[in-house]
Amino acid sequence: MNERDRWARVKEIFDAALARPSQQRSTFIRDACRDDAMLRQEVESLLSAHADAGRFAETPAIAALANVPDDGMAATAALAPGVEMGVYRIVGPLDTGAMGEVYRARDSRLARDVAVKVLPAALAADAERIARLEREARLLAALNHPHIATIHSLEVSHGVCALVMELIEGPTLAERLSSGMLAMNRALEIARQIADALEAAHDKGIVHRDLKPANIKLTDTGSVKILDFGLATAFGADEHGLTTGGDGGSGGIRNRLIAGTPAYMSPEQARGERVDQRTDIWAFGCVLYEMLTDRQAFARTTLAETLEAVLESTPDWQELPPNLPEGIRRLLRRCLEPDPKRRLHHIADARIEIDDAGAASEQPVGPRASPRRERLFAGLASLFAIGLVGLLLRPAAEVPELRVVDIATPWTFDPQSFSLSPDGRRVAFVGDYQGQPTLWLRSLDGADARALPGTQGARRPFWSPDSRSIGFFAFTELKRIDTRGGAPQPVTQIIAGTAASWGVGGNILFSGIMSRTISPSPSGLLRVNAERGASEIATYPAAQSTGHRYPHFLPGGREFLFYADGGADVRGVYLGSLDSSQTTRLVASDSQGAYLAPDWLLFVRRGTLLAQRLDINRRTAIGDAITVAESVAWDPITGGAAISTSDANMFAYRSGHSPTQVSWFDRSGRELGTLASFEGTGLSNPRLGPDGRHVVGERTVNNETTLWLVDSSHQLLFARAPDESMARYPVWSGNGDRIAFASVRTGSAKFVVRRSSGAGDDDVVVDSPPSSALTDWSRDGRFLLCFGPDPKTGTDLWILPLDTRVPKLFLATTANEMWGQFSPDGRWIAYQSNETGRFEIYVRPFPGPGGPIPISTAGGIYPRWSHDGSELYYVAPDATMMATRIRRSPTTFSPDTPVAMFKTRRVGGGVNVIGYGPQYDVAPDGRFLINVEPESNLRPITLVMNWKPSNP
Amino acid sequence: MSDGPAGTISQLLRAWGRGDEQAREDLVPLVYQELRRRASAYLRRERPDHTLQPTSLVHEAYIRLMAQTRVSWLNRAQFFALAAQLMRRILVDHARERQAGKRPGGIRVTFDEGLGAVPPPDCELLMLDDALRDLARLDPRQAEIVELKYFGGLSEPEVAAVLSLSRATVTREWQSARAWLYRRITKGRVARP
Repeated sequence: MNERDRWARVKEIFDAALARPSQQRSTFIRDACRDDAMLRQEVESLLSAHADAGRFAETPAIAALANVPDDGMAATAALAPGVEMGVYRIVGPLDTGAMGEVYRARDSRLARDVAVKVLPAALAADAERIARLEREARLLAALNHPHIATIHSLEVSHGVCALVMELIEGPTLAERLSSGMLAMNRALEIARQIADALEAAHDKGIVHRDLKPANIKLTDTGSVKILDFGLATAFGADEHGLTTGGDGGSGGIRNRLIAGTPAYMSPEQARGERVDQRTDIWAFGCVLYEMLTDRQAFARTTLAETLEAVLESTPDWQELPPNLPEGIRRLLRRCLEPDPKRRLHHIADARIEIDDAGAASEQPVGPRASPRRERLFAGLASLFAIGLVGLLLRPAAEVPELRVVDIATPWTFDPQSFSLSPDGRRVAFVGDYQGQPTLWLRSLDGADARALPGTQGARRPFWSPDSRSIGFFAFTELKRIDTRGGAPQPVTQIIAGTAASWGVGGNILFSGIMSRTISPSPSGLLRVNAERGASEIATYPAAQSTGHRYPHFLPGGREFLFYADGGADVRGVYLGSLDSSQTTRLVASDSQGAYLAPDWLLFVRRGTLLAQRLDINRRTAIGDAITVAESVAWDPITGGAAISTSDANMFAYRSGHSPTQVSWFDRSGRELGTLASFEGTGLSNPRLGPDGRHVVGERTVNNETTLWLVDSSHQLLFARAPDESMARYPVWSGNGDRIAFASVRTGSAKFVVRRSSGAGDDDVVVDSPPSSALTDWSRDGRFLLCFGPDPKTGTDLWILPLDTRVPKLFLATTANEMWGQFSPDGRWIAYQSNETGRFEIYVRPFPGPGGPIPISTAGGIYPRWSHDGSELYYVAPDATMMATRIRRSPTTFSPDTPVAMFKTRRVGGGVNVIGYGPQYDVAPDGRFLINVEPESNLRPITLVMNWKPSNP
Repeated sequence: MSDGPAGTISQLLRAWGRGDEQAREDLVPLVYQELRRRASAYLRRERPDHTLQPTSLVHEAYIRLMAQTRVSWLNRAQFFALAAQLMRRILVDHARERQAGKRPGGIRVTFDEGLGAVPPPDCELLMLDDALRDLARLDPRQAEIVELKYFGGLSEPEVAAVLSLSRATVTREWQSARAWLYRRITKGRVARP
């Protein structure tokens, strides 16, 4: 026998042996090989290689390679092979699919392999939730049942929190079903084992809450193992797995957080009500129905339709195979009974029913042999931080009925940054990922959200009309990313952006500042092509407006809505067109407008979301505005409201936002107390006086931006600029006796000096400064420092000598220099510049020439000096406060390597956001005063489907 | 890719379909280029995108190159076989480059007894490529299956269609080929100087 023939023989015996139960294999091989010991050895060694090989070569090469981080890139896997967690040593990733990160690990003590499931980073950082998870894990570990995957332990180390579980080889039921139908007796056998497992858990008072085919494993021996038992509860919002969302909107809506997968959710779960074991019985019914019919009982194409189906429809009983025993039919109806009171109460009854039906027929199920439909709900990560909040708003008889669903997101300082896809199937939002604001994508009909790689620093996402690409701002770029994959692509360079809209033909309209197209600030809307870049100004702000922002294309892609800021008679939503310079105000408003088909204009006035009919042909809004929701988050500085609409009669908003808080922190990040709390809107851009006690900052209330002087016991309205202009950018004089600020109005600004006692007249020191952004006043009182835009050189630093009162350019390069700060001795200026493509902190001697001396090494914005000039502080891209020690002699200036002090919830995060500014200051005693987002500001995104006015 | 080369490609593909082996040779650089571009774009990402199946690289390239041509299934199968072969070359090159970048001394893998050896993916790939050459001498059809599935990223039903085999045959052959390769790698030469 030659080598090839021999291999053919080996293969044959190997295949036949594998097809047999393992305990019969050795006998079989012995018989098959008879006296050929070599052959037997060959087959046996191959079988043992097969057993050891694990997932060897099962992942296509390119996917395996793509999992290996290239040098310099963020590590993908939280746990590298070889890492040890307690007695467990990571062998390698098991599953990088929708399951999230699951690893194979070796238990060195018991010499067995286990599965390690890494929990989301947000969880690992939250001691309270970990403590709760530990309690749950202990309870779950007690669930010792042959059909339930055992939980061994909860490990917290290496900055990750991981659940160690029994390792189960084999496909999930979902995978098995996708490759073809099950025979009826096999389906019933699987159902019998699921029922058995549920019974054991329910007896201990544990409810699975997310039972579905993807959580059911089929082992090699044909037995069933249920995964993730009780984890929905463990990761749920509170002890009941429910959360109340507070004053979420009008009509006393109560929002409740639930975890689960829409197509398998019981009606009470979809309504956000408290659930018990009967919710598992419903899911069991769904799974059994699916095994028998090859169809998901309630899955539909959109989330709204799926919830509708769960709440109102009954499964199509005609799909059941005709030869199905009557008892099983009855069982299915009793499991899928919408009213939990009338539903099967105990899963043991299901087990009994299946036993009675016997291992009945051997026929495959049903007459149909059509290929399986595409699965809608393949996503699995539903248990995690991203829960789904469902509630039924008005159970009226209208069809289609109004649905309101809440979508929780990871923490973000930027609640307005979310956007529904035009087709209404997905939502893109900004949330923190590994400490940085990142773009996330979530499918509305699944339960999984994923952070899009390479989108760090993302703000204000917006969709292409075909719902395939997402545009967003990131640092100094406008970018786009294809949702089907690929790295983000730059569209154009900007200095800062507020919002954008993508119309047909690749037209992107956006508001922001671009060095190339700077017109007298503030700017109009800018237009750029998604494919070709290159920009031009699309609208010019009318004389009375302080800026055009928040463009929003109407369906034809030529006309668009935008928001113009300014006085009460100017402020509002306007209609503009790419084909004409004519603009028309549609409604008075404090925020942008959004179009909702067929003819609604949504907008926000003082935090109330309103809807009014639109007659586009006549370029006017008609009828009265109707209240849609109360207390919607909006930003009084830029006029941005947290709303988004899709073409699919669906819109989303985020509800109100508590005022930001100005608090004291020590340099380890410990909060030492709150400076002051305000009603409605907080104090923005606080600046500490030289005494370290008085603070001046901006507040925007009812569209008026004024300055407030605050000490530990008083809050004093300090400056209201005349003629509805804004008072902004206050800076203290060296001895604290005066405050200079910008009085901004109608595209022009003045710098004004006023005594901090409030006495005496204002002194207009500079009549037309290069821009309004006043950033510092030298301690000797001789110079003001500001930055302003130039068409050729981006933003530049300007010095305003108070003797000559003639602005003088200090630094103009082709990059953008911003936020200059004098050193206390007045001999240096620290500033940020994006000359490397990213904002970094630099220092130059004043009045120069010389420098630049680089300070930050990995990105930095908003420099501040310590009181004695021995340290320089700034904000890193992940919102960490950094400190650099400065060593100086009369002739030298040498900065040490920056060190991280603490992570903040500073307003604006670690991103240079137009209109925000530093939002922190340093006291003479070294404490930090920071304007922070209260933790409670993490509100879910509320999704409203099939909205219709109640009184049209 | 502009219309020109795409037009050429469909002509070449048709010629190849008619049995013109020279056409195949002429196709190789064009397809290689297209695949390489796609593969490196895919590999550059920090994290594989779950919506983009790696298998679709070959499909994507196919669709892209075939843009306006109607091609018979025979051509499609031929194309996939060719594409898998080229993907193998591209990925092996890529893994080698990366190895060279990381470890100047070359490849050295230590298998931890009893740990169910899981070498880093680029080592696994290079060792598998090596072992696959040996398998091709022993069982060419199995080697082809491995090439299509592992390097080409095709699913088992697709492999079955390309090779005109039954699905069950592909599954069976894959199983024993995989065990053979695994044994070869772990028991055979594991370290290269």
